[in-house]
Amino acid sequence: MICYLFSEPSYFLFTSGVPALLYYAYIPTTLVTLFVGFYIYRNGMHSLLNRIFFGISILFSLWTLSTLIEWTNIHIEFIMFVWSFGSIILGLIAILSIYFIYVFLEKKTFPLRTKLVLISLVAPVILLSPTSLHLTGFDITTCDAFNFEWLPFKIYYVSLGVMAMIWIFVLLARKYRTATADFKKQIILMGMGMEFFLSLFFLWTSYTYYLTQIGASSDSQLEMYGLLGMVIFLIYIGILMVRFKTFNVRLLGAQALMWTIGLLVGSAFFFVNVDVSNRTMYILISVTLAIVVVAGYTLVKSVKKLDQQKSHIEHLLKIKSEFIDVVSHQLRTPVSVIKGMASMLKDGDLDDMPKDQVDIFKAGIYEKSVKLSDILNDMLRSAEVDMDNFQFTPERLKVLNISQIVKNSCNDLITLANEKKLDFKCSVPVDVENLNVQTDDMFIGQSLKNFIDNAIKYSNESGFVHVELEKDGKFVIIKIIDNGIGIPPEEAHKLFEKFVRASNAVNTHAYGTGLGLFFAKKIVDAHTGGKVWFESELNKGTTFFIKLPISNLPVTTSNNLVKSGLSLV
Amino acid sequence: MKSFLYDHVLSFVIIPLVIIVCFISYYRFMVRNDYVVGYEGKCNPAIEKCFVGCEDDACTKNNYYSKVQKYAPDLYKECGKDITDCENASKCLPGDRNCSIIHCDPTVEGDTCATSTVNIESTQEVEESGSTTDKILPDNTTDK
Repeated sequence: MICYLFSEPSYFLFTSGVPALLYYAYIPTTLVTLFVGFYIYRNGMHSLLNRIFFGISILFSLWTLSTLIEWTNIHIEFIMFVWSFGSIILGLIAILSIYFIYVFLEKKTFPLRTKLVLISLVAPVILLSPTSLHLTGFDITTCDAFNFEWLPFKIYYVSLGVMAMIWIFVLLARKYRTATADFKKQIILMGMGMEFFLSLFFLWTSYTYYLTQIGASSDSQLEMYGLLGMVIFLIYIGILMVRFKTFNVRLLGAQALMWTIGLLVGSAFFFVNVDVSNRTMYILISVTLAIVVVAGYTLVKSVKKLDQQKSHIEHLLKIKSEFIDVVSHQLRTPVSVIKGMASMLKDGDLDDMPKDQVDIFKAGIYEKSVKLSDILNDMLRSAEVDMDNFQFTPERLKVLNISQIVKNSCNDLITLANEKKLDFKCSVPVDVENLNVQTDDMFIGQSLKNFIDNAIKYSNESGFVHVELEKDGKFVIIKIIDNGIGIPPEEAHKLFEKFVRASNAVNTHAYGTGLGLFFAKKIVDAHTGGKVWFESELNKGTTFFIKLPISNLPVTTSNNLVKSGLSLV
Repeated sequence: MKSFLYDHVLSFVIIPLVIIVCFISYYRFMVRNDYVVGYEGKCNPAIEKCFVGCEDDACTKNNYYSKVQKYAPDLYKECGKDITDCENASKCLPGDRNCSIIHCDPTVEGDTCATSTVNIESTQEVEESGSTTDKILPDNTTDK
């Protein structure tokens, strides 16, 4: 027997006279749910979590398919047959949702006892669904099954959804208290998605259907908005997959968003025949627009982030290449020299040489060993301070006399300056002699020596290097002035970066790792208000300014600064 | 083996249960047609209290009907699958199970009954006032 409300559907489901929203809400949602479910299953079919999600997506799709058949088919025997499964599918979705959340939180299966509880909860729904307690008859004038024959049965299987919501909330809340910060975010996302899905799917659809049946609402389309619950759940699942690699699926944000936009635009085909003045049309367009705007905004944000990451990776690759350059040039030379000389010693080639010649060889080995040691020290020190906000460790902070630190640094480097016949002066005016700075005694001396050594190294023979101190309010400023090769203006902005050497510095024969100024600036910046800057003119000279905060506390220790070898830039 | 059984107990219990129920449901609805069918039966306003509605969308002609419910196997036995021109579809015959014919009751709120003064305009007014015409009457107004 057939009901005469609609004509025979084509392609099993499509007929005129049913609301356009039916196709718009049901078909795309079902397709995307099946697609996501299958995608997750295919990427981890051995994972219980993935299998349960696939199960939920299959059940949801069966439910939408059965509802579409109930709406569009006209053969009452078939409608009744399909109708009898609605309650079973709802019951199974409820218990699988609980199981899904448990496995997501605990990464293990339910204990047997809990599984038996779930079976006992859903079994009455399965067993009673084909009986007349669920369905007694069919009205061919309205094309609808008789409803509410035995209300307790209907209330029972809808209550399974409510129970699932409460159970899931309790599971999530209990786990949230002991979860890590990262997992807490995942719990919130998964919890919100699942609760949205269940509340809209169970409560909204049942409540609006009930209102329509008792005549309190004339809009039978209201229940269809309940399917948005699954859309929202899938959005949260997408976020979890992109951000946290949930389900062990690697999914790019842009990929997921493009699918979303494509699906939304494609869904518009299902309501093209609706009159524009229809309220439904406005709602559909509003929903589509809102999701497209959100998806588009997120897509742009995601592309921007990718671009930033690309720049960062390029920067890291550049540093890596500079590091390899330093290692290959600066380490290879002393190692080769040491190796050659050691080989001559081993083979007895020096036995017949005059003593003064042998001494030169020995001094050469020592000198190159010191250079190697300096390079290693530079690298180790730089690694120690190589973080975004480097801070001194409190136990190493001391109040020190700054003029003493400067004098010590100058004394350590005076030999080097004399070798180049430089006019090397360290001037400490009387008014700054007693100024103190709270600092790390190991690091500040090395930092100053790096600046002074840099000035000596890149000054021309018979040039000058002057180190001066002056007071500037609550700060002391150390100036290192030279008349060396200067810094090319176009390279000034990257002078303090790791492994960076100015192009004209590389062309000199002076040795450098590109770590000295990087380390020195990090140390100065670690002081509150500490600052480094420079003024330079190519081929005329450079002045570095180091600004450090004055401490009013008394000196806590003597200035036993590190007497280690020179650090070269 | 025991652990495998415990791990898959949900599937091992629920899937066979659903398959069995699927067969039961198919047998009940598709083979035995074990359900009641509700429809609008023929009604003569001259001798019976009939519900009144429109025969077409333009409402050019009145449709007088009573609300009939009949057990599907009885209905198919008496009229076949097409009940449009079947006189027996509007009657409860002896031996019919779960058969009921509901006539209009003007005292029941929402019922639009045919009277000698009923015309199309008045029918439309009543319908626009929000009354429902397919509400099932209380048992004391039902002919069985």
